Amino acid sequence: MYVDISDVTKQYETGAGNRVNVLQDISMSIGEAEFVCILGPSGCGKSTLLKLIAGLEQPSRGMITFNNEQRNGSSTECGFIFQDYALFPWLTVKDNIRFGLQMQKMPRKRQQEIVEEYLLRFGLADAALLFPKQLSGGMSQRVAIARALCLKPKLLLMDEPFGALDAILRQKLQEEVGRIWTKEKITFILVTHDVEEAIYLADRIIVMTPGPGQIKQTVHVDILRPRIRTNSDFVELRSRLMGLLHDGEAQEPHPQELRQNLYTQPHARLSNVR
Amino acid sequence: MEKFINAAPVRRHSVIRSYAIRILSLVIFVFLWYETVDSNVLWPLQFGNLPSPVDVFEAWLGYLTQTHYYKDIGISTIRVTTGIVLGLVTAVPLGLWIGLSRFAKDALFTNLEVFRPIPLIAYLPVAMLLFHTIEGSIIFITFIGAFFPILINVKDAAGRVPTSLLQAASCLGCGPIRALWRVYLPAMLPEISTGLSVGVAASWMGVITGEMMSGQSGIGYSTWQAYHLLDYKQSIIGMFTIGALGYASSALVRLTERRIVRWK
Repeated sequence: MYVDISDVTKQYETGAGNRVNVLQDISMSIGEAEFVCILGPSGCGKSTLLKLIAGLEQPSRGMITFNNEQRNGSSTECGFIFQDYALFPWLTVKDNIRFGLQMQKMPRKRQQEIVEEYLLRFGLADAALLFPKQLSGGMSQRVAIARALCLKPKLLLMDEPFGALDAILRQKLQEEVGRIWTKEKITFILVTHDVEEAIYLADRIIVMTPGPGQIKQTVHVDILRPRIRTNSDFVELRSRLMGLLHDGEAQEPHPQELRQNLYTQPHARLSNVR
Repeated sequence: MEKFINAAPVRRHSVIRSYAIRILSLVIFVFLWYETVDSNVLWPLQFGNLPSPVDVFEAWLGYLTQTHYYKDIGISTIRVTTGIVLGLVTAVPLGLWIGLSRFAKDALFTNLEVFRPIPLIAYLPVAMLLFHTIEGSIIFITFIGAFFPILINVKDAAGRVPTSLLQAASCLGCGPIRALWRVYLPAMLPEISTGLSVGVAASWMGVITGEMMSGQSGIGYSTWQAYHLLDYKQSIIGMFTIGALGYASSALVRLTERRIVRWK
């Protein structure tokens, strides 16, 4: 599915009657089976952009087309993984996954088959009867993804899905998402503030800046997969991206930074940028 | 270290102690009751007028074998249940609507807020006028008792359903109307349950009041009637029976809540 975003602007009204532009003049295209990361600091409107693509909100100006067709509202063609996973707490893992299938009025037997297939595929067979509150972070993510993917969407949108997790789990889940993408072969759009995450996963990184949210630059990631975070090409690209986001600050490394670079730097975080 | 080794016995000891004190306090209460009646204590309160606990207990044992006792309980229970069911059926959709629609809130809630603080018993005259039968007016009171707590809880809960859940449902193909049943309702179950607990207690209060004031049957009526017929033992038995029924209803609600809301 080709997604075309042309000159999209999103405005919100603040209480005082003022209008604030959350997104301005966003234009980009996304092709089939691409992994695109939208990278930017907090408040640059990247989550809003994702919601616009999903049809959960409408642009104030501009247009988003899917295979050259406009769409009204949300559809099951866009799977969405929320930051808090939004699993239905009153349903078991099995019923959560089944939810979308029930909406489609699929015959029960067929629903059963598909749910079982996805439980196995995502390693959730043992957890089928657990409730979301009993799940670990990693399992919750898998349930959320299984729930979205069993509807065979053309697009999977993820809004900072690794936000609340610790560093070790983050990496593990990033690898999982990469594997799932390779297997499913559909377009993934991931929104994140984590530079390394973006480089690890994406074919293309769209760098955004805040106030109002605009696309600064699009960076292609030509590194062969599986990507290794300590390889020179990875590290180089990370520096380049950090530079893009630091924008305008001195390019020469501070003596403090020089000392730090002697050791392996952990996750570069954009919270340092602002 | 020694403290930990002795922890289990200490805890058991304190639990036994706790229960012992509870039983003892009940025994002391019954004993005081017996004594004040037997000694005809009339100051500061006219305890001497009360029947003795022994007589009350004897009479109660007698009632346990008589059908009219159970009939009274049954009638009151049916009235309360009817009122609660009606309350649920009206308050949940209405609360949902008021919680979600600005228009509904402005149009309906103002009116409801005027009526909400009115104590149940004050509805009685109007209820008697409005309803054809006394039965109808009593059930109306029980309905009002259940209605308002459930309404308020549902209204508040509707606004608190997480947006991400609604958006997730939308992305999974669930339309906004369907979401009322599939997302809002299950998400609000804990709050509905809270409203129900309060509503059940209020309904019982309503039914007893209605029966005492204008009824011709039921446990409230019997309790009140017994007083007029100078059968004070029955009044006291009635009082405790009503208490037990109220307690049983609350326990039932809690049990259902635990069953249905396992996931919280």
